[in-house]
Amino acid sequence: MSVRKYLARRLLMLPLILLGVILIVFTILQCFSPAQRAIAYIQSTEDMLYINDIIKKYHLDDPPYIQFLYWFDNLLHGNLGFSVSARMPVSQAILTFFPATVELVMLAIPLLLIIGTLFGILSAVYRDSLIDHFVRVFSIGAWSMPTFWSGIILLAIFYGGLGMFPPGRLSTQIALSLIQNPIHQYTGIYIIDGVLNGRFDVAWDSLNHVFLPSLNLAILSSALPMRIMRSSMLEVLGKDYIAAAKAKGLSKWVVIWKHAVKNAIIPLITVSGIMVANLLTGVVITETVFAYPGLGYFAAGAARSLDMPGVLGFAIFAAVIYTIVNLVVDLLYAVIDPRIRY
Amino acid sequence: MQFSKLQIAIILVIIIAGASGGYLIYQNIFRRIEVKNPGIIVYARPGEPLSFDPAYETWYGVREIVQNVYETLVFYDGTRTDKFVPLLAESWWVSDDGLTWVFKIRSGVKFHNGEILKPEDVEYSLERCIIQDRAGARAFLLTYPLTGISTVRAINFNDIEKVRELGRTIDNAIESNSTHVILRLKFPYPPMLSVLCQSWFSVMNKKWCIEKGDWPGFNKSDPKTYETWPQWNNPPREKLPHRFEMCGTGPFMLESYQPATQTVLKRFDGYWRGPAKIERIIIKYVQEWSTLKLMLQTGDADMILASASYYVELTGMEGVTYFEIQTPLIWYIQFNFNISSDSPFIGSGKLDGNGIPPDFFSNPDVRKAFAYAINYDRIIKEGFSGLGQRPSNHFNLIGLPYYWADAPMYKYNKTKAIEYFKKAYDGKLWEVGFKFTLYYTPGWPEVQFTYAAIKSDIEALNPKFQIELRQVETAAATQYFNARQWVIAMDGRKPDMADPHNHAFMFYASTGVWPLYQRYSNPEIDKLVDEGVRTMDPKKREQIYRRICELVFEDCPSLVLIQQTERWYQRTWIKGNPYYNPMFVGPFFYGLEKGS
Repeated sequence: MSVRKYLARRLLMLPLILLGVILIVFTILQCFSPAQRAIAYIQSTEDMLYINDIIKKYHLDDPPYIQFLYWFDNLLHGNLGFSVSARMPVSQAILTFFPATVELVMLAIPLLLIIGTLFGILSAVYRDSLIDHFVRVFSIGAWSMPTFWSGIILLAIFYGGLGMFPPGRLSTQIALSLIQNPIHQYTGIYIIDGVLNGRFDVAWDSLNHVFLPSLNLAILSSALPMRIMRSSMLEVLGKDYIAAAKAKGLSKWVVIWKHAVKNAIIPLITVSGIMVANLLTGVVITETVFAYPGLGYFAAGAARSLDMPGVLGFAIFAAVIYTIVNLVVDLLYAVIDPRIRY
Repeated sequence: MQFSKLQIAIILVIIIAGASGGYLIYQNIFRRIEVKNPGIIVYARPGEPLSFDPAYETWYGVREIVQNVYETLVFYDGTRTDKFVPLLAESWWVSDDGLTWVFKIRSGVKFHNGEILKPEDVEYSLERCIIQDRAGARAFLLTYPLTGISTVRAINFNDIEKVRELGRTIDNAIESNSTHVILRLKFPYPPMLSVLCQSWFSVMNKKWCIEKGDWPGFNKSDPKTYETWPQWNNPPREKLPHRFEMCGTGPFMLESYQPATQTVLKRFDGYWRGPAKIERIIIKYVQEWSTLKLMLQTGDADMILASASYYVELTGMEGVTYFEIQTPLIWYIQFNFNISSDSPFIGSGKLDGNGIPPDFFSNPDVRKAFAYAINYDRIIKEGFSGLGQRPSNHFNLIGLPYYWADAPMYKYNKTKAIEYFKKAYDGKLWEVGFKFTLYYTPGWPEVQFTYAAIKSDIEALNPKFQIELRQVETAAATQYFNARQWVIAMDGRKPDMADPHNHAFMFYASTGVWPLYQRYSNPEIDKLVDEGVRTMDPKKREQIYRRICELVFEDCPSLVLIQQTERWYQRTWIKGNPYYNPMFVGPFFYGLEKGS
């Protein structure tokens, strides 16, 4: 099968995947009673007195298929409904919060891949050495560390202790300057938009804010690539062709980089795809601890308040992200390993 | 053991990084934090507004913005709650029969859009609040004295005659001319001024509202307007025409709102009392407590909102000060007189030692036994940092009119608790015991602590008494509450106005919110509550509220745990106290300065 055919087949599957996701999420939401789904609209004990009014007003007790039709009608009219938890239409909420998450992930991914890959390789190359012990302890520690706790520790040290890398997305002064003199939003990602508008102060300020949450994600998420890279490298380093390369008289690092790493990296790519998709669809705790308004913040708010349009909209978006990222990963295999064909 | 060059390099990097980090931390511990963002006050708090409509919202996070952007006709005088000063009304008078209130509207007051305040803006704003009447909001505070009904939804909107009639009633009850606004009441209503102080009755610019697609107002020459007003009644939040926009006369104007991030208020230079000293207010929405605390510590936030359980973490923080204020904020527990028989929290549902019957708390001896069994001092000391006092009931509060210091109240008394437990159900309760579950939702440490304290106090009396505690998600709690499956509910609340009527009605009249939930009623209290709010003579009113105090002591349908003393934490470089009146719902920024 040609790459083009493969691509077309995968893309044609997308509507089916989306329909499946919608039906599953919708069914799960329907398992909650109308009163439970009314919490998004309740702010005080007094509001509880009018809960039946709220249920009626928002059609929460209509038969499920009617509720689905209401929502689907919105979808056919090009909108995903109104998210009560985000206080705006779902599509607008995704457009508002997604760039912030992309900005966060944009920095976290290279950091975690560099940390993960590099330490994984070193750990395998220097097996049972001090560095190997360090990497193993670090990866177990990072894997088992609660995101919440590590975030607070990083904030306490860098922000509370050193006065560096404040929480939020922008500093007060820069945020104010953007209200008074808005910049053109090409991407919604301040680092990029700041540079494209010649506002390097905005780009720098954004980088200053995004660094610490990205580091938090990188530290915690690097454990997996670190361990995968280590075990994959150990396996590859034991292969005959590595012994042959060494016997040819190639230097140690040429053998490692040119022969071992290239073959050992395929499992890492598979996992990276899922990790990127995971991170892109929201890192709730990190965003909450660092007061960083990203997609995770939106998704968590929608889920907590059983905000049906919000949850469904997010699920559709997440499904699209996962499909695209997996597709990209599949295509990458062929680039890295020419033996792979579609 | 030999180290390779790489290992030595890594160890050296770690040592250097550690030493530099340690040095920087050492430097920062002793560094002097400088004023950040001069001319701007950054106030960080959890939560986030759902809209900025003053008539619609009851959440404090919105109301505190409203009280800085909009203004009312009158307001409380300084720290008092029983004296009033003119605000948008220059002066006022009330007729001898208490049925007509006339307010002379201040001239030369500008709205944020440049329009001049006119009496018709006041009339429009009050009428708009009454006809909007969001279910659960507070329009009833004004609707009741002006129309005699609590909500405009009491009539059938399909009956055009009734709609027209009520429209005309509202329009005639609130009238304006070129200089005055006249309110015509159905009966004398002593808390009228206190009602008019509240944010729901803020004055908006009529022209601006209509331009935004809001209700066009009543028009005597257009009879249609008396029929169409229900279209604007109880709207869904997303249909509010100026949901995240504001146009008031207050010292600050809304500059921007960024969801999940911040609200920015800008000084209104045309403010009639003179511009504020602070140029901007930035309200940042931060959900994580540790982050909030660090923001105050580093000076990135000048003030933060902290609940009582966190006070201990802030007290003594360098460069941070606090103000204490005895507010009418109370925390209370309510007994459910008629629990749903399918409640998962009442065990067997029988008095057999493995559960409780659904009408367990309709037994006055049980309620009194609980009232005597609880160690209130411990709850106040450990659950609320010792900040507060115990009031006798929900409406007899320090700082509110007609406060009766010697009102009867239940105090911790194990002997009496045992006596009442033995008396209940003719001794069977003491003999077989009981078992039930109290649930709480995450994020409410005060509730969790109080329930744990109640559990230990009750279980200490008799080993056959068992109370289980369970944490449930908010959505599930909503379901349990709505299905009447709850056993005891704990909540906190500040009165809507500085008058005993508000809580006397809400907590003890059979049509009040809580008695409806509890299924509690006492006809004598109903009569007295109604009489209390219609009696203009202060002496007579005092007697009425004292009698209600006695009756609610006897009935004991609920227990008040504490009237909280709140603390307001801010950096020392902020000059002035933004939380000086107990009826404020948050900081009032006008008059504050940011020093060095």
